[in-house]
Amino acid sequence: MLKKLSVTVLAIASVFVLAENASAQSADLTPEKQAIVVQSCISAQTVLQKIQHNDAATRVNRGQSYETLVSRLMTPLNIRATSNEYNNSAPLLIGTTNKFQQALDNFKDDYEKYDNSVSSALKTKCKDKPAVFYGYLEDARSQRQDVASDVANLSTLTGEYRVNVLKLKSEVGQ
Amino acid sequence: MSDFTHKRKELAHKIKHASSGHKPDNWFTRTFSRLARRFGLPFGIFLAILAALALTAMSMTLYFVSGTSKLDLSRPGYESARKQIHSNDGKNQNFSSSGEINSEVIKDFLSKYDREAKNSQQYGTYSENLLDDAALGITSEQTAPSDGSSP
Repeated sequence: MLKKLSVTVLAIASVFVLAENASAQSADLTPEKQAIVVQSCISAQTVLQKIQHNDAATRVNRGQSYETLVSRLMTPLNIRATSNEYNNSAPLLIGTTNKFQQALDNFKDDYEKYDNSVSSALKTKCKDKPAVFYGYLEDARSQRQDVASDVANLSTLTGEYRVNVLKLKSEVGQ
Repeated sequence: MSDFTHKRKELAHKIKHASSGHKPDNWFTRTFSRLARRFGLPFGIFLAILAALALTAMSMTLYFVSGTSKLDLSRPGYESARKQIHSNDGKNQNFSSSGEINSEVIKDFLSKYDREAKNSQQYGTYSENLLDDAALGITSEQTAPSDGSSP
């Protein structure tokens, strides 16, 4: 019993240690680049903070808009199409809504990861640890790309749903 | 006495205490009663503060773990971000989930849908180059960094 418990505790501890190491990876910087980072990182952090605030507002606005699309428009139409037995269009509408919901969850998760990296970059004492600061910055860049592709995906799915609504319209007209 | 009889008596004793309102005699209740008798109201106030601290710790943990803190623009320093929030309660975009479907209904749906879809496109798209070295001013030449506004 005690053995099992100690193995579990060790496993949990190693997960935390690995997670900590993964999030605190520093970038490989040449001495010249390191000097540049040390010289300009304070002003970079100021700009980064402004970007973080603007991104937070964008996240809230986009989130509200996507939630409105799913909960107030897509879902009610899906229910209505199903209850009226439009068996050709209803599965298409439901399928796109499910994909949209999944993409929205990805957007939220990816944004959180991105925001965590930006927050870590802002908290880092960049004059003392330029490589750690730059490592967080590189993480944030790659995660920002993920968020941007989530936004593009959601936009595509918004268009796909509209096409399916037009299919429903033609089914209704038959 | 068999083990079963012993357990039965123990259970009966517990039930008797529970129904009669008597407190079971253990270290915790003895200490608690002693402290309550000795300190009275201040002890009660201390307990209330302790409970408030525990509840606050729980709610703060939920606030951070759930990610709500990331979306909370009422934090200090987010004044400029608050101004950018568009009030969108979606009240005008309600679509009923019951009723028949005809071309008029779909036309009404599409007008609401297009309005909201257009609305979602007006916000920033997290453009990739905003975190470039040049945009952040991390260059050998001292260039003016961007103002951080998200396109």
